[in-house]
Amino acid sequence: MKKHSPSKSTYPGASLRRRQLVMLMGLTLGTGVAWPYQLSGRRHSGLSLHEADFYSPHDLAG
Amino acid sequence: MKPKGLQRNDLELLGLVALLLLAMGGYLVQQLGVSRQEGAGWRRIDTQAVQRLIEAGDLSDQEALWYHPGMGGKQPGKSRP
Amino acid sequence: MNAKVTCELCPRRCVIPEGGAGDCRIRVNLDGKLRATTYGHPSSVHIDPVEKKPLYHFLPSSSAFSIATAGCNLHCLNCQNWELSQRDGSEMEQLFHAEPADLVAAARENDCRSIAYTYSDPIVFYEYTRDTSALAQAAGLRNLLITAGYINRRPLRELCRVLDASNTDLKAFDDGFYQRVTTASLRPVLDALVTLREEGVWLEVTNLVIPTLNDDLAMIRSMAKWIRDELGEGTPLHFSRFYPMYRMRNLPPTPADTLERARQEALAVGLHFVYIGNLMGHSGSNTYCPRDGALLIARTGFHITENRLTADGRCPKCNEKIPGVWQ
Repeated sequence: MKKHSPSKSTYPGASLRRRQLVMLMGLTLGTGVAWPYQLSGRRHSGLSLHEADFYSPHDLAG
Repeated sequence: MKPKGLQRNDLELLGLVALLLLAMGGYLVQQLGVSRQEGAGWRRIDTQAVQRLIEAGDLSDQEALWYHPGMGGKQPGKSRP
Repeated sequence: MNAKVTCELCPRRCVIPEGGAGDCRIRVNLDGKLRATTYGHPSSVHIDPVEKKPLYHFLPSSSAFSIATAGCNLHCLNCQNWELSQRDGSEMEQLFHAEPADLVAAARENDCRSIAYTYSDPIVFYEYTRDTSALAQAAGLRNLLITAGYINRRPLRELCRVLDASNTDLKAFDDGFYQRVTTASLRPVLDALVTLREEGVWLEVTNLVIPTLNDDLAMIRSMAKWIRDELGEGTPLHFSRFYPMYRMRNLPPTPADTLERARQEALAVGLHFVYIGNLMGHSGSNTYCPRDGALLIARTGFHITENRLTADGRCPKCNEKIPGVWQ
């Protein structure tokens, strides 16, 4: 019987490792894209007072 | 049968993790350096962002009161009425 | 050439290089001139009951048009407004455009009797506060300064010309607390309180009681004595309940009996009006006559449920004059 040698694509856990790698790369890329976006913020500027919600909750004294 | 030792994809994974940790560490060290520079009460801000917002009309370049050019000075005074 | 400037508004006296900001983050050196970058650009605009400031002896049941910009010259570990106070203008997600006249018009349109400069600290947006207050005063509105009081004497005296009332924090009667928890110091705050009193601004004082940090009864007693001697026994003192916040999430909320003991200490020292705040439904938020103990004003939260004071601010039973601005 021919000995079946494990290869990168077939040994137990190989596909799992590849998935882990892809997930990690995705996370890194995603962080790299999202981080500057988060830092710059979604700004609402130049608002007039008529756009203010005067009665939004602000619970504690001060 | 499980392969012995580190495989190439293992090394790739470790390399990526190391790169990530290096980037995070570098950023943190850089921020520490920034904190050390800021002394005598002043702070480093994103001045370019502030200037952009001033030009856009979203912040102001209104001159402040109660300051004077230069350093120190014991008597507080107004630079303008 | 790096043209530095020295800001003299508050005791920090920041020496600011070109392109830098003061410790407050919003007073910025641009081309050798110091700029009040948030002038005309508040980030927080609300209508609050005046009792929320808290001001209990000033135009009760009225509404205060309350505004703030980014920035602050204190960095309290427990700041409840840290997303506003510990940021510069470029970091704010919300920036309104409101010249002083716009604020006055909006306050009048919404039937507010006062404008409150609050939430972060109006000391750092001094010019905006001053200019708006001058217009508000001319329009018959009152001006309320809600502050930590960390300001130099001369700018405060000037500002007092356009102020009507203030609630100033006295965070602890201990300089060590001020250094550790707020990065400021005690003496300038005490000076500010005395200045406000001397300038005739109606003054109420708030002490936020934080378990293990400033809840020592001996210190509270000393603080109450100082208030009695330097500001007067009729100065309202508010003991406010602490809630875990910002960088101080490891401590529990102030127990009710700690606040009650603090209140009893202050009353025993001779202060006439001592309140408990941020503790819903407690009788310590009511106003009682210092002479005969009669209930004068009953409050639930920030709302007045009963007001028995006469029109000229007297006890209906014994005619004792209750200090405050009642109309």
